[in-house]
Amino acid sequence: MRKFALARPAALAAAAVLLAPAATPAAAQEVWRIGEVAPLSGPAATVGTRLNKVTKMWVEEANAKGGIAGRKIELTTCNDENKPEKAVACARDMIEKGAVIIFGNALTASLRAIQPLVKSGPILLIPSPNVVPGADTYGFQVSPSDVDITEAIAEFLKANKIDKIGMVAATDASGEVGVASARKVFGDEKIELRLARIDLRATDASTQLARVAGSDIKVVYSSYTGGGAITVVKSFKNLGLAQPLIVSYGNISDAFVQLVKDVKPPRLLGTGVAGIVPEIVKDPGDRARSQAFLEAYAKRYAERPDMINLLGKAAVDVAEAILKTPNPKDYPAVKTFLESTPIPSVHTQRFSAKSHVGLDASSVIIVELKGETWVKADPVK
Amino acid sequence: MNLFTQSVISGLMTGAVYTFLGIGLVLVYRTARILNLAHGETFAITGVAAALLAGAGLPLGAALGLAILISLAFATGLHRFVLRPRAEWPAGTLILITLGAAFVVRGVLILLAGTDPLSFPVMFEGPPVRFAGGAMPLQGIALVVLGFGVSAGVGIFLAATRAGKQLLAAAENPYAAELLGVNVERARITAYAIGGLLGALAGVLLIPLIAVDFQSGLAMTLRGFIAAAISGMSPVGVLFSGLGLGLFEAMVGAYLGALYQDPVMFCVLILVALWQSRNIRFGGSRRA
Amino acid sequence: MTPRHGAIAAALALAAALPYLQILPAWTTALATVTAFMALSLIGLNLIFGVGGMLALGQAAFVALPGYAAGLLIKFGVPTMLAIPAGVVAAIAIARLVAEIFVRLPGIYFAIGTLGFAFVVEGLARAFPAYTGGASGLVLDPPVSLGRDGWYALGVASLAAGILAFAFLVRGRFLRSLRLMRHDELAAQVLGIDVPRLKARVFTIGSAYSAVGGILLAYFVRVLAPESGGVNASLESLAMVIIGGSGSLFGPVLGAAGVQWLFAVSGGAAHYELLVYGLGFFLVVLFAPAGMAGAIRRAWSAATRSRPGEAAPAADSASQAAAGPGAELPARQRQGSGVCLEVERVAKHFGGLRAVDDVSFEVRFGQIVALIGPNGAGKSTLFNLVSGIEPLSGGRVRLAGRDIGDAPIHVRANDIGRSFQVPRLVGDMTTLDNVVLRFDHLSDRATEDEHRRRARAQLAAFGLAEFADRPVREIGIGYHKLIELARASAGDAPLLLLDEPAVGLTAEEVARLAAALQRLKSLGTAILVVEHNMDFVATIADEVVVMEGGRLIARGAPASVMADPGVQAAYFGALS
Repeated sequence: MRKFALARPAALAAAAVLLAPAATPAAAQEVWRIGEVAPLSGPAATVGTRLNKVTKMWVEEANAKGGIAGRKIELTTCNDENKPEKAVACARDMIEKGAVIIFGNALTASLRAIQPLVKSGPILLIPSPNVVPGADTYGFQVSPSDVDITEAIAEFLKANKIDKIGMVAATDASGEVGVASARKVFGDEKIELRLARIDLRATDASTQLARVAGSDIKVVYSSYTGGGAITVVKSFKNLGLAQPLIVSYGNISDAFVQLVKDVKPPRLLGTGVAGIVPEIVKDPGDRARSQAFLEAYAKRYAERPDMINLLGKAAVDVAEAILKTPNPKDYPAVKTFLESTPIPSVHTQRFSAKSHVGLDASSVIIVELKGETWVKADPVK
Repeated sequence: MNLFTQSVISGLMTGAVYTFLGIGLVLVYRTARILNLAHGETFAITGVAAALLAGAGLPLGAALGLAILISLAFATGLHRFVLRPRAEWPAGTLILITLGAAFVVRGVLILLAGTDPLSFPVMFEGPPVRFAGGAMPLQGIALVVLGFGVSAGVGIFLAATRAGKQLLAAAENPYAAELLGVNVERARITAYAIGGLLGALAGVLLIPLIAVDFQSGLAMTLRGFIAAAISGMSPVGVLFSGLGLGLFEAMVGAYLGALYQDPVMFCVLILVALWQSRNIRFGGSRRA
Repeated sequence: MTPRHGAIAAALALAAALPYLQILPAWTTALATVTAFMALSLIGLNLIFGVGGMLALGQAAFVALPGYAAGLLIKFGVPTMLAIPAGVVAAIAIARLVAEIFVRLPGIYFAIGTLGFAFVVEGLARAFPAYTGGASGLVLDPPVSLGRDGWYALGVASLAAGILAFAFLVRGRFLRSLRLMRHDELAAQVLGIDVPRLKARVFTIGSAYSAVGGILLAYFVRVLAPESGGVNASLESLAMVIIGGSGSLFGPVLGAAGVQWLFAVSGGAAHYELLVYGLGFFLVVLFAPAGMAGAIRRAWSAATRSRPGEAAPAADSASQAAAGPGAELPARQRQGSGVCLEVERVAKHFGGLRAVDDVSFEVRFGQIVALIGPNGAGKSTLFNLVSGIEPLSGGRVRLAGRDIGDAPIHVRANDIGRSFQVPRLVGDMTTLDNVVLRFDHLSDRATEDEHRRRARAQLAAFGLAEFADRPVREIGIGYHKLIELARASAGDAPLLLLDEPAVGLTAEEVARLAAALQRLKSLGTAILVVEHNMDFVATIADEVVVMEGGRLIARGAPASVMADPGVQAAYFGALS
């Protein structure tokens, strides 16, 4: 074992030599270079990994078909570990190497660090609802924004004649954004908001729930998207609370269903884009594309796709549309193209010169877990 | 629902977790003079192993038993094969070795379990117990009773029994302890085993109420460490510091907002460190 | 320029050019820029932990603080160009302030305190989003726009300046003091080092590095997230320093580059990077405590077949040749006359135990007094009271007429040379350096060369010249007492406190020791010796003070005291 220390520099050098050829592209001008910044380890590893699965699947499929517009895709995935300094290093390298598109499959702080780097292109695709890119930038959000999601909840409440909501939000960035959206949207809609924050280390959420889920509260919303979200659901069940609980879009996954199947509150609801329940999607094209993706993903990875995967799919569809434009490297032209052309996907993305958010509140539905599948939520009495 | 009652219940449950993990750290620190930063890994290993084994179809009892054994093997193996041969190394280096072990476990767990959180069913099923406007799940009662009970048992054993005092003496002065006929090595491996067992038990009881993932270990070590540090590494004190922390966290969460929890809590920690060290000088090194 | 320096210069030039050569996959300009700023901040942790031995578990707090301070200032309308240096200054000032608290925390409590501080900084950053950007991060706009190469050049230049400053600062007296403090804080105090002050200084300088590296990184990234000041980031920083080689000049650079590069090349490799990183760290702490820097150093010395270590300067060699084993102590001013140490009704209580109870005696200049008594009589406690290691419960201690009862250890050290029952030398340092340490902290301002010359002469006077340039750990234990005596009596301290100097010495060594003490005595030094070797006591002592159960039971000339029936009963009775 002691040899290790001595052998270390030699091993590093050997590794460098071995890896070097892999990094030199065979045919430099014949490929589309695409970058992906995603946290594959660290606290946000779940999100990064799930988005990365879809990106990889897209590249495999496209390249198997001979590429897009005659060129194969060369994907560089860079693990930012959810650290902005890593994200910046990743994105700078990608831009320097001539990436035409960057998937910003990362979380808030990393995305805020990448945004200024694409001032003059390339296109940055953002699946996270928490970072809304300005319409004068090259950033495009392929999901509804957090405000849109909150508006959908407000719609649902109004449809059910509910004027009060209890909300639990984490102390992380998603919680911070969630709280800001809730204050704005519920305030505008005259819905009374009762709010409690929960620390990321917390192993029990019963005080937070006791504070926000009084008997006069008909619906409770947990905007927690990280791993700790499960703590809220389990505490909810343990308190024997009877209200429906709405969880965040980040929890609409098989892994989550597996975790809660024994400890499900009486009614578990969630936010999500409609594509997660294709049967209820009105647009036949969107419905077919959602259906096709859900099946293809399940076949490829032997697991059901979730909301995060679906947002990843939206991102790759927009990317594919960009690559099919006459000159994807002409970023102003691509920007104009995206701002004027609806992009068919699991949900048709409609960007405009005024908004770079591709979806809005109308694409968001409130789903409900029945058995082990998510369906459209029933009304709340 | 009564917010105060619920805060007390939540505080008890959270406090039990603090104590459960804290006492293992204190035990190892007091017998082997090592701050074991891999302590929380026993929690993560137990949780991931139990979830994977139960997921693979093993009956829950068998999965939990096996998981606890794996965690015990890790805790004692870390001592026997890694730390013991280096007993004479400086304390700081030994702390870093345990940190390295924690990093290795994290690297193995992400390969075994992926990045998604895992869990397994509770041992004590049934509707929550309700009293005075609060509700407490049966598993939570078990967590509180066992958490404080076992920790109190260990604390009293160390502080009040002859064998326990010998264990502590082994750390204060190993050579003198040997002279007095204390088997220092046995004392230490016992400490690691008990520590590992406590971490594993905490996992078995708590994880069904939350979830576990590859990086839960260090977070749990930190929890135990906070409780242990505030108690001044005292086996009895950690019961009270754990309880106090749990209640504090719950009360802050209920009445003040979780955002202010850390700044307040850790200012207290710094003050306690100052208070604890008021009479120690020169790095706690031996006197002339 | 030696071949070693040449090789280092070439390696550094190559390292700086590496991102442009594109021979190392994934080692890009952007990654190298991030690494350079990171390494700059890690130099601070390396100073605090690697050199100073203080286990700082929250150093990332000082990496994030300047960015937050600057951000706050900008929020209140301060121009960016002013806010950036002000932020750094504020962070350093905060470090200086909290250092006052932390340096008083011994060992593990220092680790706990610094850890707590990181939590506080991270928590506050989250708790007040209006001022800090909250969990989503604080957005910072660089005041000037630097291109890719501009940033990299800034990174390399600031890192090079940081390394140079470190090399210039951490050497000689400062380095020796740090190594002693790291090894043995009590010995450091007794040699005259103000340990809390030195620690505060190290912590502040180290945090200044953290702050400068931190703010440069924050402006390069443009976003500062609370986690970057938190505990996980701190632990990762520590891991990088250790992997690189803690305590060594290039350790932080090697560690930062090694870890960042490893993550970059193994990134996206199906989650293996955490295991690779974990194993790397684990194996380094287990098998290569000197880290990458140590491995490179070993490889280099194996390649060149030259032993690392400084060669003795020519001037030193000359004095070494002149100083044979029988040489006299260096000539110096005679000490004063009259009473040197006056112990008056001194008491020390530990709870109910009266370890020292109402003891009075004195030691005159040019007098050797032996303090004897059975084990537990309070002799060591009395020594500690005189040195200032224990505070007095009652009575007075006067040195040449001055009351020193309230003076801290390191202040008394100027007038008191002390040796210990078990010698407290730094095994990794040369014998010479161990003795130079004593000269370093005597309050005269001679040059480094002068100190080395005096130390060499001192060693020669004790017949230890041949050991001067060898590390203490390579020298037989029997000589350690003598080396410590040489160190204690170095300089002009009027009072020597020697704790069992003759224990474990051969007859010949005892004779040499006696001769040395007689010579010191003839120069006017007052010497107080605790000793069990009665023959030795009878040979050297002018007066004997006997203690039992914390009280003084007899005092006088050796022959008369030893004939005293009370002493016989107490002392020899207890022995048999």
